[in-house]
Amino acid sequence: MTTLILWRHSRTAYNSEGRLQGGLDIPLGDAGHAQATAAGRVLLETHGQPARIVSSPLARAHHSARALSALTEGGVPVETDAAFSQRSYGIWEGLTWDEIERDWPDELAARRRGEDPAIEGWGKAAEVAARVGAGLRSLAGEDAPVVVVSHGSAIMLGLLDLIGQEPTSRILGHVPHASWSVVTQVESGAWHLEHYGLGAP
Amino acid sequence: MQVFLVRHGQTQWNVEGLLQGSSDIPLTELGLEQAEVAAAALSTRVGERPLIVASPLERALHTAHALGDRMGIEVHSDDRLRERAYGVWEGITPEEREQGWPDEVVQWKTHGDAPIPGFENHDLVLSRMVAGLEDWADRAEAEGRTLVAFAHGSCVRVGLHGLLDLPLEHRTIGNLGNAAWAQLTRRERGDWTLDRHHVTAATVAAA
Repeated sequence: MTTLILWRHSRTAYNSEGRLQGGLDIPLGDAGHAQATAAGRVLLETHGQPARIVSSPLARAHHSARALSALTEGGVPVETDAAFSQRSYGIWEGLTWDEIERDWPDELAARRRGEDPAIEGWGKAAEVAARVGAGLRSLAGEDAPVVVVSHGSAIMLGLLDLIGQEPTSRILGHVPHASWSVVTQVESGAWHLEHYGLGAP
Repeated sequence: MQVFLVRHGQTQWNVEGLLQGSSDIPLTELGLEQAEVAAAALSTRVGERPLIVASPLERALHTAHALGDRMGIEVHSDDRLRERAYGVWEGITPEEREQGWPDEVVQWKTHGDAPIPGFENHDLVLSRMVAGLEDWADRAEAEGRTLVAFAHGSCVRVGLHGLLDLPLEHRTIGNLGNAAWAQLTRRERGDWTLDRHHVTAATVAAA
């Protein structure tokens, strides 16, 4: 039975400022690193030593993954897979939600309804869901849990894909920083959501 | 509005792996401790005056009282939140089950329902759980309160599938462990989001 632990990276300075990152490669600062280490400890205590750690190539995820690796016995190496990268936010990357609300009120309203806003460069939900879902399925078959270090939207959309829901579904809520969710795949091939939002406030 | 669905703490039959269903089995000492630990964590997350309701089975009711007594809040009960009845399978070991009803066990594992006397099927459990939770959520919303409902593994799982409109056959959402909870946001009847699932006092971060 495959167990995947989907862990969101820790908070960066951009997150604290309410700025969208998307494909922008903002590193974890000291606070983010501390958050990753604290959350990583609880993750390991709860689920045990992972078989693998596979991370989005973006720095905020990769640094979080390295913080987790440092806590494991023997240092489980961090692999990277672009399948787990964040969706692109197009021309909104680097802006704050206030700036977006001011200049694109209709498109933001669409986004809030769960739709893809009509802005240049936006990574469409269906594409992100399929990409992340395929990446997650490729990890089946290990004896111990595999930790996937990724991003909020990517995790939520990938999970919806695994459990056979539309990418526009609103049944899964916001994924907090440094929180994780756990899915298992049973013999029939179906995926079960065992935990959602562990390690969150 | 926010809704918390909490599973009761440990009972002796949980330890022995016996199905309880409608059997009214009390909490163990550990189960009582788990209820207190859960109540401490929940009390800082449910606002000042949560609306608390429990299945009338004592394992759920006593788990609910750990929170209600801590916060000085009344605990209501509702029959619709009872555990699924397992009929003749209640209180027997998994081995006795497999030996006595081999075909029915296979059916139970594949489809989730079992054609044995007294077994309460998915659709019955689902409709009463959804009706009960939506009604209590209506009341909580009208009073500006968070709803905290204490119940059981199987009925909460079925209830979650109903609220989120997920097909039951695939068991998409797993069971809650003892004294673990799910947290949801309800925008309106029939329109729910799962924010947390199967979290415990040990796995929530400090706010």
